[in-house]
Amino acid sequence: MHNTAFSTRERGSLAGTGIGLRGPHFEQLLAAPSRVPWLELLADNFLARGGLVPAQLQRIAAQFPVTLHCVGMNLGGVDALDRHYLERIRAIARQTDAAIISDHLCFTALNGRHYHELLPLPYNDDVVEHVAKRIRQVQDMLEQRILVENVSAYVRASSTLSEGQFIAAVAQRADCGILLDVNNLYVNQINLGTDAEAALRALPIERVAEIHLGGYEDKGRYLLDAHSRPVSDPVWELFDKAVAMLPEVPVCIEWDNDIPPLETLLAEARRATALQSRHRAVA
Amino acid sequence: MSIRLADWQGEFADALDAANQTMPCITTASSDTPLPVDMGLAVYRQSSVSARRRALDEIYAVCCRLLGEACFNTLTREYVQRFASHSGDLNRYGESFPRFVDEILRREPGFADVPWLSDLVHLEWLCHLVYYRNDDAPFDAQRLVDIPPQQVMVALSSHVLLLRSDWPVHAIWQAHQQAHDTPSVTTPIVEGDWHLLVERRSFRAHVEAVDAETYRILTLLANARSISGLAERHDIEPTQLAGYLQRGWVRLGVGD
Repeated sequence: MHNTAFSTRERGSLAGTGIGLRGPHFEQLLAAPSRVPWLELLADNFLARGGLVPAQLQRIAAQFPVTLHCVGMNLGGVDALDRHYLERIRAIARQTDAAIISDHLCFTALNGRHYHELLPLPYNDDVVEHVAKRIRQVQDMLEQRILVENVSAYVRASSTLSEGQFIAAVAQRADCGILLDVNNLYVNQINLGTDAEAALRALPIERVAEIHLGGYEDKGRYLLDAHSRPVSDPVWELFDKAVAMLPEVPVCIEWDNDIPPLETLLAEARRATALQSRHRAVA
Repeated sequence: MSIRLADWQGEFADALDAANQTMPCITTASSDTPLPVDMGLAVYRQSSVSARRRALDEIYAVCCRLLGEACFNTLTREYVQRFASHSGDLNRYGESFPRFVDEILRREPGFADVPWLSDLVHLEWLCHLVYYRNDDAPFDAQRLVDIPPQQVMVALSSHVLLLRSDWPVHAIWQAHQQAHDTPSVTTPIVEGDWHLLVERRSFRAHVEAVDAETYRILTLLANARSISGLAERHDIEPTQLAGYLQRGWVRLGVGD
């Protein structure tokens, strides 16, 4: 049985602010690996067993500590877990010596039909039990604990628990870690009227093993978690409050659409690192 | 009021599939949220559709260049509505697009001047597949010394796929590899009997026409066969196979 806290050992050599690796930056980063302390790989882009993908994985793993971020576990779904998918994730994790494997608190498929979108869950005790049981099964298959990430939402399901209570209860019941996406908390506050700071305070901070920072797109009536913009000022403010509690937790800058030059991501990473350093100095 | 999670997800999925359908339990829970529930469901709907359409855009780029974006988008919009994704791996989405285009060609008179289009998209699908195919385990030729000839097997390499077409779709495909290539068919398109080989070479899809005999042999080798059996039953001599082996089109193995 694991301790509840996500230990430094489990995080491996992760420290500081990494970035999500995207195609346009691949060669640039591999040519100058000292520019980033670690990389997050979107595992679903690396599922192929042949051709370029395994060769790329080998090159990346030789130069960077990595984390694997997944979207296909369907942790909140009711379909049977996809063993082939999980076996592939385990193989990639072993090939890259991934420090962390993560996925989202949502459902992505139903009756064999995949939506390729992070669909919301009702927050209640029954769903906590259901999701926690599946996470334990996933952890058994992967032979390591995973992190679960809070998602952006655009509708609110009938719930008896708040978002923060739900995440905390799932993490405790499953004995898994938490990947705290600060931007998603803020997006939900604007879209659904939730309280991002209350959600933050509800989390068992000893389980938070990684933080995500990304930029939303303001669509006027709502915020879209598009990962296509710089991190917004309100999200930096919320991040500041988060790192006051979690000054040592590794941070990842995510940017998936309208991908800018690498230097833009590195500037965001430097800003995150500076905020963490300030809080570490105070602590 | 509590509702089983499976039922709740079923209602949610139905609401995504049918734009005029809403979920009572979401409508009630979202009655005081800043984002109206219909708009929220539309965000999910749009995002799910966009993910699948982006996958088709990437796989069928040549088809898009030839038809133009507007026409191609009309096709993919209908395809996404009719064909669900059955794998979490988006690289597997779009397998039925060639069949769908074939149906469109039969249905829509406006496509009469591109009778080769379904074969072209089939070729694009094979180029996509071959990019992700498994690598074959290397075979140590030294082992041949110790293996009885009847146990030496030969099979099509995993990174090779085959296609027969009445049209020179390989030439059309080759002429439209770059985004700036003129979106029109300048290659003379003569109906015939084309045998195409698609292979992954230096991590890229490569297409070439092969002769009918090579195509026949390679098609046979989609299932592993013994070299002695090929000579006895199909009149294929080892010397013929040696050339294919040298080009990496076939691989050796050991049978029982």
